[in-house]
Amino acid sequence: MNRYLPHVAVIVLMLGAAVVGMMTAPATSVAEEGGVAGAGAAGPAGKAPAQWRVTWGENPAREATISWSTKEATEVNTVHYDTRALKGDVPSYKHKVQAQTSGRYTAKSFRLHYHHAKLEKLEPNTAYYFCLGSDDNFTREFFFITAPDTDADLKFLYGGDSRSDREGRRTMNRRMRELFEADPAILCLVHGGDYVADGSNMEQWNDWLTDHELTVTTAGRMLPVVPARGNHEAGDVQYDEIWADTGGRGKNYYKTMFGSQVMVVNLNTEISAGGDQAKWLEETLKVNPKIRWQLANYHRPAYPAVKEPSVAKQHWVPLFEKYNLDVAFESDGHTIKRTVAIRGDKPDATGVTYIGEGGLGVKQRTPDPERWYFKDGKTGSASHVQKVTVTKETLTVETILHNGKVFDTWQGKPRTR
Amino acid sequence: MTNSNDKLALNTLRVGTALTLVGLAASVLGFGSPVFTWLWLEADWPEHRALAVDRAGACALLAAIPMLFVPRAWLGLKLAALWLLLVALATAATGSWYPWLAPADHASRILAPLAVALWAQRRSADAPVQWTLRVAAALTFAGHGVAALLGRGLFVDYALSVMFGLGAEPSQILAERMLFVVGIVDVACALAILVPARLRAVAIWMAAWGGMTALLRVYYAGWTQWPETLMRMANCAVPLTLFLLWKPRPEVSP
Repeated sequence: MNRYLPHVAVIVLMLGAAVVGMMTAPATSVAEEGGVAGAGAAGPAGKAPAQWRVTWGENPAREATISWSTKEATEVNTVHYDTRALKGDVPSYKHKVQAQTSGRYTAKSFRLHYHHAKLEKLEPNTAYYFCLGSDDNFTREFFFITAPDTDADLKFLYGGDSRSDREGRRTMNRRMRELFEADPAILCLVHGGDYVADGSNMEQWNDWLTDHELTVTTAGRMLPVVPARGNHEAGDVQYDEIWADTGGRGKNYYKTMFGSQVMVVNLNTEISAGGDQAKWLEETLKVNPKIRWQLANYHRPAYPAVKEPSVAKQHWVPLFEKYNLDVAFESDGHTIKRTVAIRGDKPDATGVTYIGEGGLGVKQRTPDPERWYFKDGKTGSASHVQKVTVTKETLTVETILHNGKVFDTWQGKPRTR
Repeated sequence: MTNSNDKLALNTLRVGTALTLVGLAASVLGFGSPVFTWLWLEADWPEHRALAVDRAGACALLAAIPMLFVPRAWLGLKLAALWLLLVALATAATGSWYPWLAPADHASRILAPLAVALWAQRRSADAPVQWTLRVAAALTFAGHGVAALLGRGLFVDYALSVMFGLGAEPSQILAERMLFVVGIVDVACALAILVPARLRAVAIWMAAWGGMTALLRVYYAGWTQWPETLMRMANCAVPLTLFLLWKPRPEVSP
């Protein structure tokens, strides 16, 4: 009997410790989820174009990449486009461009093909109507509106993390469509990454791409995407196959100009943050001091609501502060957050505000509101998207929940650089 | 226990494992573990229940620390090793950057308490104990070596921070080249530690490198990263234990 006593004691001790651990786990709120069931969507079939999307990179006033998928391989893939609405009468469109890149998405067994057509020399602030064609299959007419290139007032959406709750994602896509339809001044969606749970899994991407169709308005207007890479796409070639190598294959960092006075630096937290990327960031911020609004978009947060700080804090925050960035949009935490303005790792009205944490279709965590940077900030737990409104006088970020309610509003003024 | 070297080796392994368990528990209690993520996101558990299990695991790891120093408490250490295996598998299931590397990366922290338990059970550092340690060190170095060869961004940043600390101009190309060499050396060490001959030079190199790379976490990101450093102490302690065990023993005259 005595020989078993130590083991019994061990088990009692570990169970006791485990009970202590369970009892010290903080109470959590129940995430408020959308969960509205949408129509089933299996994805593309045959050679018919589907999963259409517009991707914006550096110069959305003049360039756009229109992409789509086909289930089967196709020979001829074209975009027919015009600045006039032609109701899908394909021969009438003035311009035609062949997809510069087509191929099969990298996957073991799942078959799906991508097609990317880059449109260049576009006119700013102009509606472009287009039909997609793969062999003899054509879509209805869609359109998108290029960004302005002047000091114009404008709006865009920001959000991230659409990876693990398909119904939640579809709900948020419908919410974005409603926002987009109600407010045509919205230009695009700046995405903070983590589109899917496993970025090498084309079945998951297939669902995501199909769900993205829900953001297209009834009139056929597409919501262009400005993508950033998340940790669930880290190192996965499929990301570049989907987003047409935006920011350079594997690098995926670049700046996007909305008009002449709004600059978004899109960064990649999944590669070296301190090397060439930090040099590029510093150079970009340094040579553009006169741009009124300077924003950053990247995935893993410097000032997280639940997790530990990412490499962004080490390498980019000092540059954000040095060059007086206005707002850094962050994802990854699956919560809602807005920090106090931060400089030198403490509250400072002249500092940078960090907003986001990702809620485009993922279960929401309970944030840690006790962290010092949330005093006078805001945290929450619900699917959400940020609507950013930029004028010459103010930059306003509204956090809009899946049900359309405004959860939080933050406003910044232009700063001296 | 007949040899003072063996005693020193065992205590080295015990202390290294204890520090590792402290680091792991602190990290989980501070920021959660992949087990939480897996239970909550993949298994669809309620958040509070997944958190409770996660914290229970962390507290159980802390409770296992005294057992490292109690000769007959091997069952608790095996349970701790099992939990750490689950953490590694959850990391692989929910992780992002080459997730299949996670179980190899975590091998030392998983197998160190198991080796202490085996040692306690068998009352000597015999072949099964030593092979447990060898496999632990080999897998950890192989995992990190492959990550270095694949050019893991975080490792590039570590290399850049070392260059900066040494007063050299940080260069990403140079850092990537350095990392390639590190990867080759790590994989070579992983293979060398498995050869039947007891290569003490390899073991001491692995211990030194394991210790330095663990300390690199706080050097790179500051003292707040102490759990990250502590949880990697097994990467140093495991090969150091082998080094001590493999010390030539004085011949006993008849």
